[in-house]
Amino acid sequence: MRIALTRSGGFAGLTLRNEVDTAHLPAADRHAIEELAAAARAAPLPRESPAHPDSIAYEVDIDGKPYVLHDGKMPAPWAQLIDRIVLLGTAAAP
Amino acid sequence: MRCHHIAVCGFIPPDILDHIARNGDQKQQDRARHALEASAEMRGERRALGAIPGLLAVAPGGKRRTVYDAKKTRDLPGTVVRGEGNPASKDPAVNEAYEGSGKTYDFYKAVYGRNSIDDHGLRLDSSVHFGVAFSNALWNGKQMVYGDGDDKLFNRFTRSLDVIGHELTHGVTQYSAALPYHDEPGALNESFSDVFGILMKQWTLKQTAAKSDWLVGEGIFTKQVHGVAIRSFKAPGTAYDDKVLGKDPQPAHMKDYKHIQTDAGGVHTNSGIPNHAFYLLATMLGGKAWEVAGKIWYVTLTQKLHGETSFQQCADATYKTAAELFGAGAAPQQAVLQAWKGVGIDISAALVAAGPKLTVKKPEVVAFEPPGAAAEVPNLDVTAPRRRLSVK
Repeated sequence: MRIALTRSGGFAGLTLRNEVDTAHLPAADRHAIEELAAAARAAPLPRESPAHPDSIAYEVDIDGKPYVLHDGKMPAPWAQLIDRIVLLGTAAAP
Repeated sequence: MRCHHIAVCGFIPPDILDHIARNGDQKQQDRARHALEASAEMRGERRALGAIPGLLAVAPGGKRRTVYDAKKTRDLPGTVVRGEGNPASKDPAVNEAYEGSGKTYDFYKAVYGRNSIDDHGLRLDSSVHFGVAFSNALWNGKQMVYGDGDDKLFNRFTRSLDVIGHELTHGVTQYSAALPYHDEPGALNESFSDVFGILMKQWTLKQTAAKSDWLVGEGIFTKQVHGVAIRSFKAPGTAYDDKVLGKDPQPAHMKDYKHIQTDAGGVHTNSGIPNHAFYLLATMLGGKAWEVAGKIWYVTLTQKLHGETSFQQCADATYKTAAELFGAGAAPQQAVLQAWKGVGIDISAALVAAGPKLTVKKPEVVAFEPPGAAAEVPNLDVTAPRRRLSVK
């Protein structure tokens, strides 16, 4: 499973990208992330509404399918998935 | 009092409001709490909300800070860790959020006579330790939210006093001009937050415009990042230049306005333009930036603007406000015109023509009468010798 995370906006107004190919991860990480991704995709996305000031927009691309979420309106599995990828990945300039 | 307060507190009994304050959605809860507080004040009661969980029993209308610990989750607000008047915590993030929101409250009260975010004593709620390695601070429409940073690029966001002033000011904007968070109005929303964030810092440190570093978010980047701060009023676009983060993209002039899709149309990028205009104004006028430049910006934000607003409309509004506050044609109004011109925005010709004749020869040069003197001489002559104030 390939997951690309783009974080944009936030107080600093920066765009940061992380990419994860679970095939290259240790089995424990691969399993955890694929499970989180499945749970996230099953969770209903919050209805689109104006972003909170300084909130980060998260564009999560899972195997080619994009999802957009914002700080403060994120179902738990999405938050866990995003945090996990941020922790795993290395921040890269746009 | 706002009309929805009147409507709510006039027609809904307090026990139902109390139920809404406990169980309604966020907006309903806020309104119900407002109405309860307002009606309690009218009845002379000390506090209507003391029994509601999470609300501390402090007299309404004053400075009421509550700091919560989200304990590395994204659940808000979290557990109360410090309420108004409580002793300091061992946790620096808690104390920074507490002290910073207190200083911001004091700043707005002392300088502009504003009673908290909504001017009606709204509680100042902050949650720290939000999320995992969360490298951000935000205003969620109801409270301030701070992350710990990832320790790689970002430190915790409460470290910087102006960041706290910035977040709280998003609340002020929400309750006043309500500038939509996209494109030019969004960049103005951002800029007003930066302006009152830096002014709060200057006021706290007793710094004149000349002494300020004019930096936003100093100390937020870790030492691994090549940069001094997140934004610079003085020289937008120069705050950082880092191999991982790239270069500070802020423009300082309309000709460099960035048309981008991300960040709600570049609200944190194009805010460099109005930020720099404010910097030019404050340094032209000299002295304490919150007194004249800040007052013009404050009255503009809270009384002159509402909803969709372009840079041009904002500039025109500050020009009119300067005349109302300090006199048509007086030094502050001339400086406002010069400051916007310095970032490529000309005050609308009709407005300038309607007022006293102003002398604008060299946009980059600061020349004006001392406050008061010019107001008595509304028609300034281009050729007349004028006293020049040195920029400290």
